[in-house]
Amino acid sequence: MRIEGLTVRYGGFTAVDDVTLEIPDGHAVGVVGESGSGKSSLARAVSGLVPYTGRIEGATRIQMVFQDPYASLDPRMTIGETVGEGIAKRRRATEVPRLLGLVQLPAELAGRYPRELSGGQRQRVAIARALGGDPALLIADEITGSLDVSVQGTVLNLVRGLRDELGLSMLFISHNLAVVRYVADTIAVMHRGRIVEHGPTEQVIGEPAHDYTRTLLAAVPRLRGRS
Amino acid sequence: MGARTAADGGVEQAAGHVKKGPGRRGGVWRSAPALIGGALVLLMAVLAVVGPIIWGAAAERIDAGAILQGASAEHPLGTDNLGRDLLARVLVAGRYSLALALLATLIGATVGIVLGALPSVLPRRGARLVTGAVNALVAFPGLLLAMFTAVATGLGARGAVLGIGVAIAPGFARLTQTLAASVAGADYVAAARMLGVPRRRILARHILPNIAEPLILNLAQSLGGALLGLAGMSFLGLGVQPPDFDWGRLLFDGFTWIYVNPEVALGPAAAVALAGIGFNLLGDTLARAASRSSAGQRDTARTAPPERAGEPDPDAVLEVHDLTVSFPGGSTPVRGLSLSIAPGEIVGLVGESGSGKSLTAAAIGGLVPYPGTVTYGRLRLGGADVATLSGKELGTALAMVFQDPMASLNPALKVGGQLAEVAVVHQGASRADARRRAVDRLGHVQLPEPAKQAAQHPHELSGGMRQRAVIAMGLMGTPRLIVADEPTTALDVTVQRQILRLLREVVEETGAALLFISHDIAVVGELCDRVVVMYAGRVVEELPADRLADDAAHPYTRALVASLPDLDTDRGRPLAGIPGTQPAPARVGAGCAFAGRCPLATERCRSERPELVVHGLRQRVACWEVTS
Amino acid sequence: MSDQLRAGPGSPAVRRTLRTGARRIVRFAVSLAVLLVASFTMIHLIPGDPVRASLGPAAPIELVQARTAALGLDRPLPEQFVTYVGHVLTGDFGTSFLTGEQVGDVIAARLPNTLTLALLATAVALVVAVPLGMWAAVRTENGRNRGTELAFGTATGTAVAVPEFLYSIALVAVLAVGLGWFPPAGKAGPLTYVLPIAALSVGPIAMIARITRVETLRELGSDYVRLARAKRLPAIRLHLRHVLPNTLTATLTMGGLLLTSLIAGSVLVEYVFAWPGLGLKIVESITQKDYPVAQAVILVYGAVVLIVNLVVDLVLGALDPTSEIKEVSA
Repeated sequence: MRIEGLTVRYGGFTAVDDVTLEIPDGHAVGVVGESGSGKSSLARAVSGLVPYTGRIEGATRIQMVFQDPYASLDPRMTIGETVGEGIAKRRRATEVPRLLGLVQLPAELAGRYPRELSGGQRQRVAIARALGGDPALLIADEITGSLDVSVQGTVLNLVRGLRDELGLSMLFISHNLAVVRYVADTIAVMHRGRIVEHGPTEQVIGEPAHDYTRTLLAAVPRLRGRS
Repeated sequence: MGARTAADGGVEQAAGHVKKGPGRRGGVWRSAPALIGGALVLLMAVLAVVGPIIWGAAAERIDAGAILQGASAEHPLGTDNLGRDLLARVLVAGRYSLALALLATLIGATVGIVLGALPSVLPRRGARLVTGAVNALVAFPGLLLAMFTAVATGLGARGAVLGIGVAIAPGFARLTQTLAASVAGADYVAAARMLGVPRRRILARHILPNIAEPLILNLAQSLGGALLGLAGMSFLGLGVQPPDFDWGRLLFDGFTWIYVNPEVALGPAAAVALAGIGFNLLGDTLARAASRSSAGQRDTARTAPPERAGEPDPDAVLEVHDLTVSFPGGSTPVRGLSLSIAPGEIVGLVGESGSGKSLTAAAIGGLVPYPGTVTYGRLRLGGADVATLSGKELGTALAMVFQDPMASLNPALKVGGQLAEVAVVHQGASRADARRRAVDRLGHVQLPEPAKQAAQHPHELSGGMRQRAVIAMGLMGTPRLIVADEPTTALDVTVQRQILRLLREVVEETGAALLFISHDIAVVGELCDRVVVMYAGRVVEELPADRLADDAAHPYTRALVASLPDLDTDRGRPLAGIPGTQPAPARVGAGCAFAGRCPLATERCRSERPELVVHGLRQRVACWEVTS
Repeated sequence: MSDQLRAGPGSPAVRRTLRTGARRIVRFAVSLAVLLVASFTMIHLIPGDPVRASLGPAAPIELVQARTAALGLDRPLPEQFVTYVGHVLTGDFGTSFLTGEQVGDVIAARLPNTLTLALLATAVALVVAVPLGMWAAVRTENGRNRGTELAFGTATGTAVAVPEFLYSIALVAVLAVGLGWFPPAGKAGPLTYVLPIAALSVGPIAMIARITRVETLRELGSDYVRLARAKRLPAIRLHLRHVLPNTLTATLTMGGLLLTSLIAGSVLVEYVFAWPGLGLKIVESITQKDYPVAQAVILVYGAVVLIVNLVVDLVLGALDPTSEIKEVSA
């Protein structure tokens, strides 16, 4: 799948400026950037949620997981109804437990409402709902942004596991370089609406080519003496 | 933006835990206004049904011998110009008054909801036209719209009902529009659209159920408004015409005689007032019941009196011993916390959301919100008990920095003025001196063009600049301790780096101590000298920051470190996660709070709480498995 | 994205203020035009022949025809509209069916009386309600003093629910007729102002006090108040210098809206107190089917409301440094 010359404008403000990005089958492409870099607008444009100019080729069946698991589930629908939303009625009874199983949630949760779940569980439900749409591309927009660290780890493991298991292509967006590095095969660095650098993960982290990437890397806090 | 507001909000959350209690929905209904409102509305409904049946004949009986009488035993509210009994007429008029109000409300609601829904189905230009029209109409007072409509459609009940309906409609349209727009913009609707759920199904499954409740609520409130509006129209003679009568018309008739017999106006006036009050109180109650299922609980929990500690440490800038913060309802977000900070030392207080770290900061600053109660064995700042310190001493010796730099500065006041205030209030400086110092301090935190920035309002500064200004505000006095509660959580990493550097410089220069509170163990590990790890309201481990990565002893600290990916994490191995969730402040049991999630936990851990004990060099741990 | 919008040198911000100001004025002009069309249409919407309805069934056909011709109602609609707009713009609102007075003169004589009443009532409401609301907020912050909260809520809820004409009637019945402390009606001297203003301002006092309380509570919970408390600012300074300015935007917006609703509410109050304002006139003209007067008075009322809204918008835009940004990001 390929994004070519994608531009998103809100009024006079250009959020995404002529972005070209390739997402090979089964690969996870990470997008990293600070607030206002245009990474979330990119996600929303690729998902078809905001108008854009440019071309998106080979994009069939795109699903997205949102940042805030408290806002992305309809409070009036049960977990089962939410997960089963995109699935044909006759297959729902078998698919919903399978999808919940995929995200390591017990099938009994299907009858519960979102308010009864923790943030991490909700995010798993959102992932299960996206998987229900049988996506060729899964977009994850800051999906661990509102989770505690200890929960973040399990969600990241889940996402990586799902990618290996199902051969998903992914666009994984985060402000956190370490998180993106852990999940993505290649990393695209966004700055002021443009991609300033895109390359294999180890290369971007190890031998950054662009000044901004270096600035960003230098700013990442690290534990001293970690071996 | 919200990305990094993540694991925080301690104070609010802890308070939130208290608030969430079952049965508060019922509580709203048990209050006096709710009961009065409910009773009045019920009374009106009963009156509407039975009034004409019982008093219908009496209301129409003409008595030439009793024209325009005042109150008497036979006619408690007097009679009208045909000698008809006014009390009976008031009781009978209820049905007509309520029916007209209901009709007007339904007309208004239908027109309004249709108008409000139109923009979401019309093409863009049409949608803008409708929105503009609704916005213009909302600005007009309802009575004017009603009069206009009533003139155009002819005097009488029909005109008045249409008029009030027209007057109600714009409000409904605006509400529908706002609600539909907010729900249509929700992430769950976006998700449904991506799953290919058809438009009308999204409307039926997601949008309608989520906007129905507030709309119905508004319907109930509008009914009261319509009733009063119609009464007003009839009172002016623009509504119901004889021989029909509603309360407004009775008031119109009675008003002519008010200078002779004031009591003739009493009946209809009381009826209108009671109906208005009834609907309004009921509407308020419905709104409260819908908007919050929470409120503080009343029962207070008694906590054990804090133990007296040994001798105070004369060298410590901050010495906290056995600090407890509790909320009514048995919730204790901070439990017996002890902490001591030396001058020039940077101590990190780290924990996940709900660990009590932000409330600890609030307690040190004396900012725990009501109804929280703070108890401590010792709380000393700069060698003196905080209880004995004056506002002036505290205001200059303690500096605080909060998470959201957008919210920490008063949007209405200029930056310089907010800084200068400290000097004016506590140090008795003149305005000009205070201002000069403010500019100097702003320059000190490396704000470019400090004099210019001082003259600006906070919204003209970027987030990082604002956080610098907040730090500068703390430097207006002579801080002994700076308490920074997630000061970089809302900032980008590059800005975070600058603020961390600034904090370190400030500490080095002023010799103040810094208590740095964060959920981010990497930031804490990088900035601080010493790290204090909190879990479920208690300190579970304390150790030098440079040993965090390799020598952490408590299973919780180790798991936290292991679950944090950094730029050197082995990508081939899964990250550590901690199963389960931290117990809520009201649900912490007798044993170790972490036992339920701990791989090492034994029976002893579940029943008996480990104390914080020395474990190696400058390290203290609260864990049975590690220390025994 | 908020950063791009908020940060930035002064000149774009000034330009933005001007641009929003200009947009508000355009909006005002459009609303005014719509109002003009609406008031013109009104007389044509009236079921049947307005002249016949006004003069009564007994009037000779010649008189009706003559009146119709004099009013230009026999001309084609577009021509009538052009004439109407031309007349309105030159201040010519026609003559009353009943009294033959120039409607313009009637309005000029009566509008000031209505505006005086509405402005005084708004001022009274703000002066009483803002301190009341702030006091209630400070006393009930974070759910303390539940009794006060309940009493305040019930009292204001009840006061809001009773319409101004009932207050008027009650005041007339008790203080004027019963006790004879105030004159029951008319406009003659300061004493005659007391009851109408009291009747008009009770509801708004309750309403503004409620809003002020909610706004104040919100501000009291904000970080800058926490910071100000950490700085140990005296309570008076905290409430008056920090909290009050931030609640004023909402309160003044509400005050502006209330002023417009008071202008309308004065119709009923004027009617009760026989106050020689526009409100009394509009009721008379409608019930007596004096359509030229009704048409003109409704037009003037509408225009006054629009002007008040515009002024409130512009004043708030100039007062509140962040309001134009809210507008942009909304």
